[in-house]
Amino acid sequence: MKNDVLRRILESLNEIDWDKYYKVMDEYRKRFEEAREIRRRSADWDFIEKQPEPMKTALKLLVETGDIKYVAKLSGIRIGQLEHLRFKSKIPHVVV
Amino acid sequence: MSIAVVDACFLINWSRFRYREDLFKLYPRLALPEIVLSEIRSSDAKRFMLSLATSGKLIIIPRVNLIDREALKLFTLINSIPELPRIDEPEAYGLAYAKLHGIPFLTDNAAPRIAREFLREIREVQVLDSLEDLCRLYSGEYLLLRIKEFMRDTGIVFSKKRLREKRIEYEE
Repeated sequence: MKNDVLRRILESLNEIDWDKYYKVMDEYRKRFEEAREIRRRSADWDFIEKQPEPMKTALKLLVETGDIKYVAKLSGIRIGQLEHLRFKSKIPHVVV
Repeated sequence: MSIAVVDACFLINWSRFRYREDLFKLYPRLALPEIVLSEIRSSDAKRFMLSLATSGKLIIIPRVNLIDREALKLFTLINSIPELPRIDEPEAYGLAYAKLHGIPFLTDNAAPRIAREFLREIREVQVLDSLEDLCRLYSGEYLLLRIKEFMRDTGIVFSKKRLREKRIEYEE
């Protein structure tokens, strides 16, 4: 049993080229932060604050994560409606 | 290059772009996984999808067990890396199909593109986003102009670092 778990862990570790992982993620951490900053800067915060719940929290989460499908699932708001609100609240879709 | 697998976000973005037809200079035919269909709800994207189907430029990939198993594996692998943006089931399915058939995967989600740089499992998969395709289609002044138009039409913003990576100097 223990050997099985260990084998599976080692197999999954072997899937990742760790040298590249650290190098790539160092770079992308900066890019994700830049994307978050762009969304924070561009968002119409007056519009967001005026929204009723759960829209207000969903839009704030969208600014932080940029992940519309994730936010739609968590908040229960339909993706089409959330996309419409994203557009109205001027939250850009940033490609890093 | 004749065919590429396309993700919902990519298709929706290109459906809004005024020069969307140019994409077919790179890929005469796009393959859309059936599982992705339900994600396409905007009328622009649906119209675009129907026009492509009419002109024979779009095929729908059926959902099969073999791809599902591979997709679940990639879904688990990519989502187990907490720093990466997450990948959802339809994206994982598209990525798995592209991997098994050796064809490009078009998506504007950064996770598969970043993950392929260090995940041995998908290292050979060609993952391309909209900027990559714009760079393949246009050059020089036209490229800059088309990037601006793409961002205006779709509401997408390419990060400065991403643009610099492609040696594009862009001032807002």
